[in-house]
Amino acid sequence: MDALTSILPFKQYLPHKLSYDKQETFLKLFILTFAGILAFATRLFSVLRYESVIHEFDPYFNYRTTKFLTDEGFYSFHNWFDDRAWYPLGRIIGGTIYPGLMVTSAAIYHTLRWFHITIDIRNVCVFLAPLFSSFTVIVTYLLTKELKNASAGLVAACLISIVPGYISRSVAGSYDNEGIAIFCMLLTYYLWIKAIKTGSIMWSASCALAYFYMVSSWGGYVFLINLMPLHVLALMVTGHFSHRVYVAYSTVYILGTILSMQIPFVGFQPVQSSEHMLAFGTFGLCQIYSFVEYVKSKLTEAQFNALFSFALMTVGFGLGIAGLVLWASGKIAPWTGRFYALLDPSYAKNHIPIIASVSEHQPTAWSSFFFDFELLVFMFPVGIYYCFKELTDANIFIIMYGMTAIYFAGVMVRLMLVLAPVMCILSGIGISSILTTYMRNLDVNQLKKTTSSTASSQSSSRSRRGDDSSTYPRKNEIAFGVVCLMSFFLITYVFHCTWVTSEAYSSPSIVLSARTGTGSKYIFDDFREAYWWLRYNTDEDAKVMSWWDYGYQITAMANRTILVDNNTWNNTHISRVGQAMSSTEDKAYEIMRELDVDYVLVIFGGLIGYSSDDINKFLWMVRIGGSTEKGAHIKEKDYFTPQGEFRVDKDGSPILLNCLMYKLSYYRFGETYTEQDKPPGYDRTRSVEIGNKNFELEKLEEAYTTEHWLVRIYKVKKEENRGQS
Amino acid sequence: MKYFVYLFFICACITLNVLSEEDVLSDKIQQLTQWSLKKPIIRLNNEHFKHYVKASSRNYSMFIMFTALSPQRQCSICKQAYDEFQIVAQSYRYSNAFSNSVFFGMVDFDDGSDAFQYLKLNTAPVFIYFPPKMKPKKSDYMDLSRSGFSAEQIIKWIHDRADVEIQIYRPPNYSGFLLVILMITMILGLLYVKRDSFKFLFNHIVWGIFIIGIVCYFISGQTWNLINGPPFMPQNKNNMGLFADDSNMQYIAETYIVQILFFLHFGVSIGVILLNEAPKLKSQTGKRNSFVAAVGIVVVVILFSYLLSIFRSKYQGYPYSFLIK
Repeated sequence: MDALTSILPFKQYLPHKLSYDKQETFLKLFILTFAGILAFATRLFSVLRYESVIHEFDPYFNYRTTKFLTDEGFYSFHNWFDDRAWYPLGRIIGGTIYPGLMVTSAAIYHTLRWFHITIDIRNVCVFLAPLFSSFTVIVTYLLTKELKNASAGLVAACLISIVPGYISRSVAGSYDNEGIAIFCMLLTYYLWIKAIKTGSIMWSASCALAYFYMVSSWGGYVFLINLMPLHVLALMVTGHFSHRVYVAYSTVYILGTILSMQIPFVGFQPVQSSEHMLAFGTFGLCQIYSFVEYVKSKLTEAQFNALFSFALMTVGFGLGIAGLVLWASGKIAPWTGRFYALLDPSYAKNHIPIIASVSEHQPTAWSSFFFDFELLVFMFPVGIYYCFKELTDANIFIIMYGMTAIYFAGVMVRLMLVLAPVMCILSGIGISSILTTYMRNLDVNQLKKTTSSTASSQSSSRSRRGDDSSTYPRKNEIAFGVVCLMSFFLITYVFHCTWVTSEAYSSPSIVLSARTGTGSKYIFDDFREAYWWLRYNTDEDAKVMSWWDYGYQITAMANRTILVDNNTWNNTHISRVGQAMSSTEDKAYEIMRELDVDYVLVIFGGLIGYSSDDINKFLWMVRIGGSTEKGAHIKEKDYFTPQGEFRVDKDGSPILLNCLMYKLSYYRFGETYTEQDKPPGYDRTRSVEIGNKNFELEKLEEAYTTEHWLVRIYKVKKEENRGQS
Repeated sequence: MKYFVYLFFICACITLNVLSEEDVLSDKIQQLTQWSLKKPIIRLNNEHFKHYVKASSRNYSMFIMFTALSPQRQCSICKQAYDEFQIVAQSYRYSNAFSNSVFFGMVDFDDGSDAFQYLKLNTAPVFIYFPPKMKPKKSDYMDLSRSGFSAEQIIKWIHDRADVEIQIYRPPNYSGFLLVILMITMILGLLYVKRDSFKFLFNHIVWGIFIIGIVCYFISGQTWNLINGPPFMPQNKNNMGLFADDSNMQYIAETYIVQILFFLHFGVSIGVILLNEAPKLKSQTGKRNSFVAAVGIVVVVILFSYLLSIFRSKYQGYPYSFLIK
């Protein structure tokens, strides 16, 4: 720290009259504040480029529930039965979500209201994730300070403020559980380390409270409840187990478990499911271990040995029987597939195609590690090395965290998020250790002299250094080289992170943009245009049928009832929609009448070349549609050409060219010119001229098509009064 | 009279023909049985396919896998499907259901491109059932996209089509078991050799290096390899480099290089740090140390810029590079 303060360029601006301690505090505050502000600011790219808008799909659901919570109050939120989704089934919202995120936003909203700061709830939601990232910066500092020292903490705080692995889930507008969960996780860890170090019940109880907050906000809490017992086990094995650990773990486990069971969605899982059994087992082991230690202190060695071997055998036998009985009677729930997928990397691929099909659940290639962490990938091992050099209780924890997180991140891309904080902490420890070692070697006074004085004095200073008590010659130069190199690496880190944030993680996907020929930005705002059209031009109780991807957005923005949404809990219902989309118009009409559909919404990218539209997703609709009994007549093969290709041009399968999805996407597209030198009806996404051009819709009529044809809405005609004659 | 002669002649011809056809058929069956006794899956080339499968005079049925196994076809899924198919064929060969009316065959694209052309196939692998005396219908193609190609699914399909009941017998996999045994013996051997001093087990630094090795293993994307099974090296002749151009793809060789680079980077940086902590040395060794430290710094810079350049080639449009383009 002393070396740091002495060479900082703004030293002369620091108030000289302050004492040394105060200067240090001032500097720490300064760095932390700026890191916090930076963390907030770097996440605002999308807000500045577009507007304060919520991103993607799931955040829209969270936004809608938050809005409901602020309008209706907590109790009606808790008992909320949502009839706008999954028509006609509905969905119980209160008991099937983690409410932490919504409660947090509502609390902030009401606090600000109380101070007469009238902010819209949408803006609270948009800026919540960046705000909590700023908090995360502070918690990271505190945690690293407990592990190593304050300077390592400052470096770690600066690193985490811009690390892309964390930004990917916490940009402004990405209003999702992960946004606050990382803060909760690090807060729990910080309090846990505090509890382990002090052995005080106060810190342990605070840790349990932080754990409760974590449970209420993210399903990833399972990672915490397994990591803490792992830490305790590691402490036992390495002989670091003490009364402090005993007090801390027992308190945290008991309080934390009772508290976590208050979340309706978690319920009795903490005492039943296998994912929590490690924590329970460790709790028991702690008691036995302490009891054995106590007995040992009261008996002679021979007596103790006899007793110990007898007890071990009876207890082991008893436990085995009890476990077998519980397992056979089904009291211990089987481990969920996702958990198996974590333990055995190839499990998911072989057994659960649904998990394997989601891109977030793919394993991580090395380039993704580099993409998300850059410099940290190198500094992480150095940090581990320094932790091993002085093994303390706290260091063992961070090593366990690092090891487990890197394994999970390797198995699932999504869990890079959990790895990001520990990468920053350990890299912070590594970087600050290197810097403090070499800063000490850096002879600042001489450096200043050499830069300011002439060559003659340079030679004299060098001769003076010769009889310096250094371990090797040119110590100063090497130190200078290392410090320069480190600074250079850190600068590349900043550039890298800013580039990644701006290019990869800041597009809201609800508003699209493209570069025009002149280089200016062109915005496609078709999604919101369509949703607002629905909101103002349709009956309030109208039911809209669309593929499930757009469910959350339609309920949140258009406030209309939908059939299926992103909470894919009912496969048969989704399958029914898939069947309607892949049948002919007449068949689809029957299904739509059965489901009481008023409007059908499809996403079509053929005009502007938007590739993730419904035609490209269509095979999934066919697959899911044909996966249930009612849709057994829908066969994926029928939608391919005899050569096994999926084509929409003249050679395409006639069944595809006449199904509802095709007709709704390409209705009147055959008359439209899209590109120069191409025939009308040229699909720019798939680069073909469509095969079925001049058709009319009989049972539906076009209601609205957005500016760039991205969203097309059709009205389902009512049955004729007199019936068909 | 003349007519009778003609009639007789025609009759004779027909009988002879029938006789000879039966002869040919029994020959065929004999040949096929012989082959399948030797090897459960009969490998068919163009002529064989024409003679034994395409010819309409058949009273036996065949299950044929159309595939492309040669490595330059880069069909990793074909190999897996072939293994599963082999398990089925093997189980059939030693089961009670084994008869001379059902055979298992295989056509590789490189031996039997005519067969692929004849059936208008342009994908692999494909499983087709050739029923006796008929050409395969649409329903005789196994729907791989829906059912997958595990041995269980293949058996279900076979049961549907030909009413043959086969019990799968999977040969147990000893390789994992052997590997574990080998590991244990190695560890025990190491302990035996070092039995005088178990101190190294309690050395933090040894554990630290071990764990850092594991970290490098994970960071270099080995789990990705484990799950997705990419080829060891790019087989495309045009692509001379060892590295995949796509950020969603990596080769095994590539990950090994990256892993070594990470570990090297760590080793060199720790080496430079340790030099600094060395006790006071005489000027001669001191000079050497400072030289080594300077080299270390240069090596770290080169490793970093090399990795950056590889990364740049994977992510098109990445703007930064250092020293190495």
